Amino acid sequence: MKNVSLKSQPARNAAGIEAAAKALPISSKKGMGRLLRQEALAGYLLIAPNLLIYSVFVVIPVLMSLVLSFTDWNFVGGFEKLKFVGFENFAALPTDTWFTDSLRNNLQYALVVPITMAFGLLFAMFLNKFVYFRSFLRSMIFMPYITSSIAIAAVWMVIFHPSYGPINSFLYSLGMENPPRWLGSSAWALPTVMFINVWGGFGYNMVLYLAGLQSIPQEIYEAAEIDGAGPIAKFRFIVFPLLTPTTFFLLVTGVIGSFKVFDIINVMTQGGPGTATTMLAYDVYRTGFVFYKMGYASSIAWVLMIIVAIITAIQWWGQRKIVVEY
Amino acid sequence: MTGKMISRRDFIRLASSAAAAAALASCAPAATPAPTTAPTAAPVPTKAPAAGEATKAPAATTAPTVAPTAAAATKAPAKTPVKLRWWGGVPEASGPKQTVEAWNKINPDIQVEYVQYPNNTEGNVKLDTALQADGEVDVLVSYGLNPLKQRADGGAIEPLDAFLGAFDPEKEFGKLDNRWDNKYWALILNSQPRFVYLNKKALDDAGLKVPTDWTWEEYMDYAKKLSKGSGPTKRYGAFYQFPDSFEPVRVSKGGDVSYKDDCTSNYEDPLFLAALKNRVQMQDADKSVAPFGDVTAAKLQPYSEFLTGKTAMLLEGSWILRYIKAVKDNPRDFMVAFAPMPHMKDGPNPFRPGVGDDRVSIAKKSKNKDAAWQFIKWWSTEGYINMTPFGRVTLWRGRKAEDTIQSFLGDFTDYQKYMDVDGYKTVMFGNSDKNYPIGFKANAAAEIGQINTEELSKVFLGETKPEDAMKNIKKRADEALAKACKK
Repeated sequence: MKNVSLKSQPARNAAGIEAAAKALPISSKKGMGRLLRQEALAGYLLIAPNLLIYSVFVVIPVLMSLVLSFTDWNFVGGFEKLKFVGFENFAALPTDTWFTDSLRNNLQYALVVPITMAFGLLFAMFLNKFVYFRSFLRSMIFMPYITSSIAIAAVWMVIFHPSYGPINSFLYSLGMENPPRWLGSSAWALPTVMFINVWGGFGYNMVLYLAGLQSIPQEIYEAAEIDGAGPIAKFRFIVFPLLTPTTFFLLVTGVIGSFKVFDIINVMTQGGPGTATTMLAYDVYRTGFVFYKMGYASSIAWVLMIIVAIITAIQWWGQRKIVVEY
Repeated sequence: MTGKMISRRDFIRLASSAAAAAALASCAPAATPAPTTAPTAAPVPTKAPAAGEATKAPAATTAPTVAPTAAAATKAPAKTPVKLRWWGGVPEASGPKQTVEAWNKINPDIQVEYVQYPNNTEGNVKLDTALQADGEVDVLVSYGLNPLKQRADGGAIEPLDAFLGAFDPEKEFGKLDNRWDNKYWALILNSQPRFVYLNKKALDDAGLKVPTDWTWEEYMDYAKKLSKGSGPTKRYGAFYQFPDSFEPVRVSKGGDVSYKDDCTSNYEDPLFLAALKNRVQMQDADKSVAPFGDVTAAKLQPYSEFLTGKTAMLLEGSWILRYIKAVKDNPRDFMVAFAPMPHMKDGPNPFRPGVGDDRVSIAKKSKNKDAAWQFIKWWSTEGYINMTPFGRVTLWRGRKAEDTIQSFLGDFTDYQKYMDVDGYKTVMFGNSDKNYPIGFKANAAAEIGQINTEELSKVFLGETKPEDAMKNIKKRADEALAKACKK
């Protein structure tokens, strides 16, 4: 009988588990299979509640909304009022001002992602070198990310108030007669909303970048210095390439998240002024629950999902070319 | 592994069965002993989109169910009382509580309980979701024609014609927008005239008299003369809360003036542009109303602006009376005078400015429709007086004006000091024979409302000229109506 030490490091892949199972002092093959089956059963039982909830609240509604996107339905009347209209909803999208303006706004809003990442990286590099008060500064910068977005929206609305808010009061005191009216101006409303989200999100990016930075071994920097690299070259050839896994992760999740923005729009601008800040997620809500056109809203939602899926697929393909793993 | 510890297999078995048991236990809804229809409906709404809000309804009403069942138990009735659930948007203490108490006392076999839903988008979705569950809603109140029409067209409302008998809504309440497709969908209860509230002290300071009959031009002139000061402490002459600027056209030509026919809008009519230009003049040239950007950015409310003296005149509905009466909560040092709504130069308004609202209907999925009709019939006639102390006046033509006035002024101490009662009587009860400028058409109403808000906001923020805004409104409204008419 083999004397296997159970204290050795367990293998991490299936082949290793098989080998370890084989090495255990169980004589019959049936016993080994039973053990694995029991563990698999236990695993399924443990994830069953979560899977059940996920199916009922996510998978089934998503499939239902696919069916709904081919119908015209005022949900107040129940399912008897469902009417199938084929591709009519999708055909109506290109001529719908609310949809096209929302799409345009979402594409502009997606710029939030690289800007937030840039700020996150900048602050991460700074905090990596700066030793004093590091954890205090890190917590302070991360705080907006965990604050309720409604609270953030409410406070920034006061700060950006076009007549009495601190920002414009300051600009008036500098002698400016007509400072921008921020959320009350078609040109400035979207940049203002973008600014607020950059402010709220770069803490999260910074924390991830800090973790990434701290995993770069010192030897690489020293080797580069021996070769005569200055700070810019170090950034270009060491820091940025080795942070590409983090960058890629933040880019994918950031873009997906930017297409889902809703709460700030609903609280601060309700899509206004005019159609300056209407977003696809807000348009879905308004079409379904204010105009009572559930079928049409579902079609907008599915188009949104397809757009996000395409963008994510492009990014995933780009990952193979760009991301450096070592 | 020694014999003292549980083996890994047994631990996994134990943990998974404990987790499964906990999940199943937490899924079971809180058991309520009373055999009412309400708790059985609790699991049903969770499938609907507004899952979070719907589940709040049963929790909110477990308290009221205790009182009626206790009252019923002490009477030892031969049959269990029918329970009606009444959904409305008014805060419970502002009328519904008193109404429910009055009804429950005289009708021990039909007990009513009130469920309040906030009258905003989310609250209306909550009500719409509840309407799909059997027996969750018996009596519902819709605010505005559009929500009522959406619910009726969606099949959630029971037409009233089968219950009417000799009761003729048109005779009792006047011709209102509660009837289409040859059916009555609701009774409209609340008479809400719209008129101008005036700060008497400001009028006296400016040397102006309380007007009894005036045009829109004179109104704008008053507003200019009543504006005083500048900066954060400025007092404006008038106040507009929403971008909609077309009320002068509606009270002069009727509520359907924005529709040329069912599928075309009428926004090329020059009256709309004229009304819009007047309001732009008040904001930009006369500076007699607060800039629209400020109103929306700070979410200014009409009653607080008027009662704190930030605006000298307020053109609003009679719902403001509730705040005028509550002097303790809104202390002020001026008397409130009243003036009728201005009219166009070509003559007095053919309609009585205001709205009829509080549309009460029976839900299609209610299990107690006859009982619900009894309650509605009582509430809309004699029972509505319970809502009057809080500013709601019934449209019922059988009402006695003196009773209503007494009910409103009853607990208002020193009212002579705070409001001009004769003016109040004139604006509240004058012109009762005229009809409200009801809009009977509601095609694409929600979309057109959104279009108006968007285009008019841009005018008031100085980004579009009024003529261009009206052209855009006409174009987009026609597109929305064309889409709605295609079906």
